[in-house]
Amino acid sequence: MSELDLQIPSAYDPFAESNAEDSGAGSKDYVHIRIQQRNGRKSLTTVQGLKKEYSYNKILKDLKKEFCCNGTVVQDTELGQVIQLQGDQRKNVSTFLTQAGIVKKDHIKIHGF
Amino acid sequence: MVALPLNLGITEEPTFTGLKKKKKKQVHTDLLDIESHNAEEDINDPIGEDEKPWEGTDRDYKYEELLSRVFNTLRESNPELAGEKRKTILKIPEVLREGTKKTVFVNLVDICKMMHRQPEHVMTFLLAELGTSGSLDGQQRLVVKGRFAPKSFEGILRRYMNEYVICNSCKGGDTRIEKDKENRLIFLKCDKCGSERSVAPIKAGFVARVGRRKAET
Repeated sequence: MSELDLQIPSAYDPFAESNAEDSGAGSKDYVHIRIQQRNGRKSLTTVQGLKKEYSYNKILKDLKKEFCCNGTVVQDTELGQVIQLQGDQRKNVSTFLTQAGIVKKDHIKIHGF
Repeated sequence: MVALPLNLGITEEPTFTGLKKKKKKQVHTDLLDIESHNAEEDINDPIGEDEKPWEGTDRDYKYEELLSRVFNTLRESNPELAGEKRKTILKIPEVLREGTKKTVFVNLVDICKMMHRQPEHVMTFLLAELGTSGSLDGQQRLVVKGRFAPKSFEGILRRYMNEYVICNSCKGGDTRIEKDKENRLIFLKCDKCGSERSVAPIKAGFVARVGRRKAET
């Protein structure tokens, strides 16, 4: 009879901790920063994977002003909205996003040469 | 029915840490007297007493601290067993220019053989990272569109190795890729230590439209 008492589960919720951590900004999704080559020395930086709630236009405008480059937001059918910038801005974008607090450094993945 | 006190949801303190802690404290206060006690503890205490994060406080050892102590001791007594060697057999990728707009990666198949990998897998990774198109020509050389330096190939190969070749636990290079049939997951299984970890499939990502746009009909 006393064993029945021991098997009653306690009020401790084992998932509370992981839920609290997970509900941060995009735990599983990464922000991919890629680079592509164009003619000659020219290249193109692509930022993909930012959360949809952000206003891409505002971010783009800030990026353009910061790095003195041109850029645009492209709508992709599968991947959502992607930011394209002229030139090799991978490092710049990475520091900009971490400093602005949009993404954590762990969620950024830089690809390319 | 007897109501028993329930300790559910409360982590129990392991009882043996108390004893160990006290001995360690005695070591620091009275170095002269306690050398006899240290005979048993010598295995665990490293030779050089640097500032340990647990000094001075009476808290439990954290798992990472215990782990680093084990590895330090292991490295000092048996350096071979610690298994820190990386794959130092990396060949230098040889790249040539083909015309003005293409780069040829000559050594691809040789490097793949060193890593025990399929050339197609490595090729997919390279093309996804470089963001360009390319193909294997008749002589098993990789022809990539664009101009790339050998250093960039090296960097990408290093990234490939860190992610898809080297085992995380033993840092060995004898791994193979296995596809789990039920879940369509990709696993990396190490031959040396037998550990398995899952790896993500290679996804190409967003590729912007570069170059001439033909009139869309």
